[in-house]
Amino acid sequence: MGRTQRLLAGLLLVFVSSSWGGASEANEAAQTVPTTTFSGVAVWVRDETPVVVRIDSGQTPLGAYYWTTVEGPNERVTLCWRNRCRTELAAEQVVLEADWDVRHQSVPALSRSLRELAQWYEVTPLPEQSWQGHPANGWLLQPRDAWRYPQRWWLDAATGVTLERTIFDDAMTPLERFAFVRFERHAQADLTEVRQAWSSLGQSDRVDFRLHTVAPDAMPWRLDDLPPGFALRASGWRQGPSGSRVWQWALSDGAASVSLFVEQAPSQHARDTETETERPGAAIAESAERGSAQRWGATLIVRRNRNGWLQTAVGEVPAATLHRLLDGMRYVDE
Amino acid sequence: MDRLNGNEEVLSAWFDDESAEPATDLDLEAILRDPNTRSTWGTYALIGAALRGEPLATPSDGFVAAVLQRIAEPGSEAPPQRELARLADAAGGDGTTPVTAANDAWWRWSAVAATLVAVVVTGVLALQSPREAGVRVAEREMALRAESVAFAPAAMGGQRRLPTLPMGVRSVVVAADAGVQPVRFTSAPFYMLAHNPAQPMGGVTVRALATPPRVSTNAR
Repeated sequence: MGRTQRLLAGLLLVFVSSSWGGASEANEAAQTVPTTTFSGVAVWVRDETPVVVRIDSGQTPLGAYYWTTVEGPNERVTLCWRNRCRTELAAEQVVLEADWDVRHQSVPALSRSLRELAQWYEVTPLPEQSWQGHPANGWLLQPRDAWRYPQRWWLDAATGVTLERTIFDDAMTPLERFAFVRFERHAQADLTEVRQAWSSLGQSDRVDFRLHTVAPDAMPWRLDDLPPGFALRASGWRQGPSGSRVWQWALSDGAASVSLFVEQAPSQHARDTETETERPGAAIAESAERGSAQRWGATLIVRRNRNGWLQTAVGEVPAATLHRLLDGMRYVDE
Repeated sequence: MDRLNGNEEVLSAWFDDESAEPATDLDLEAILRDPNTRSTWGTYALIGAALRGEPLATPSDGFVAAVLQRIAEPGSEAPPQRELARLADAAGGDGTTPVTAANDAWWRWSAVAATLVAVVVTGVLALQSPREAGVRVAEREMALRAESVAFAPAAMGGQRRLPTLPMGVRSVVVAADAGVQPVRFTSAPFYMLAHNPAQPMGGVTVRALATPPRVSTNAR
C-alpha cells in the first residue's frame, strides 16, 4: 500500500469514526468505543409500506465502504467506497454520484449528545435491554415544544449504532420506524465483492449528485428564523433533476433533520408535467399560499412557489416547523 | 417437506393458520431444516410485526408459535423472528409507550393490506416454475408493481380522501382549501435523496420475501 493510499485509508477511518460520533456521544453512559463496521438487514416502515434494506459497512485494506440495497419497485443500490458514493436507481435508470458524507448513511444517527438534546427534548432513559445478546440503550425523546416529534431510540451499547428509531406524532402514534432485524458487528465484506459491486453499477445517465459546499453567508438566501434547537449543518448546491442549480441547507436539532431547497421555478410547461406523475407518497392538498405537500411516514415535503423561486422543505418534523423555516427565508436582494 | 418444497403459498397459509391441511411435525421439521424457508417464515413475521408496530409479540399458540418456539431452542440458527422478538423486548415492549393502543385499528388494517400483498405475491411466485422463470419475469414484475400501486398512497390519485384513509397520512397537517388539488411533483425523490440520500423512498418490497439481496457479504 502506497503512502497516499495509507493516508487516504487513515483519513477515511477517522472520517467514518467521526460520522458515528453523534451516536456514540449519545451513548456516552455506556462508556463504549464506536465502530463503523457492521452488517445487517433493516426494515423501514413508512405508512403501510415496509421496505427491507440490506446495509453493510466496513473496512478493507484500501479503505472504508458502505452500501445498501433496496429491492422492489424502487430498487436501488448505494455503494460508497473510499471517498465516492454511487446510487443507482433501477427504476429511473439513473446513477447518482456523490461524495461520501454523513448523509449517505441510511441508519439514523443522533448528532448531538443527550445533554444537548435535553434542551429540546425531555430525555427518558429506557431500561437497558439485551438485543441479540448485546446490551442496548434506549431513550425516549419527548419534545419540549411543538417544533419536533417524539422519538424513541435504541442504540447498540458497544458501537452506538442505531438499532431502532421510531418517530411518533403528538398522540404517540408511530409515524415511521427503522429497525435492524439482523445485525452483526465487525462485519467485513469480501473485497472482491465490493469491487464487483462498484463496477457493476450502471454507467449511463449519470448525474452528479455532489453537494458543492458554500458558506452560509455566500448563499443567495438567508435563514432568518430557525426554530429553537435547529442548527445549520451544511449548505451548498446540487445539480437538480432538470440540470438547474438547487441550493440546499441541511439543518438538525440532533435527532430530527430538515433540508431546505431553493431553485428557479421551471417554465409553465415543466410545472404542468410535474403534476401529472404518480409517486409513492401521500399528496396533501394545501392552499396556494401554503403550497403543496407530500408525506412519507414522518417525512414531510412542502413546496412553495415564491416570486419565481421554488422553495422545498423536507424533514421529519411537523408541518409548522417547515412552514416557519420557509417563512423565514429571505433573498439577499430583498 | 415435499409439499412444502418451493411452495410459498403453502407456507403462507400455514403462517396465517388458514391451510386446509394442517401442518404436521414433519412440516415443522422441514421448515426448521431449510434455511430459505426458515428465512421466509421469519420475514413474514418481521414484516407483519413491523407493520403492526410494537410490541412485536411472538404468537402464543398455533403452528406459528410452534415453529418459532422450536427456532428459539438452543442450537437453532436465529431467524429474523427470533431477533424481532428480542428487538421487541429491547424496543419498549415493557409498555413504556402507548404505541399499539393508540392505533390498533389502523395497524390492523395495514396488516390486512400487507397480508393481502404477501398472499397475492407469493401466489404469483408459486405459479412460477424454474423453467418458466425467464419468460415470467416480466409478468411477475408487473404483478408486483400492480400490487404495490394498489396499496401505495399514490393509488389515491388526485382524490382528496386523506382525512378518511386508513393508510398513509396519519394526520392532515394543514386543512385543504376548497378547489385546491393535491400536487405531485416528479422531483420529490430528488429531494428525499438529497435530504438523506440512502433512505428508501417508499414502495412495497415484497420481492424481498423470495429474492435474496443482490449483493452479499461474508460476515466475519
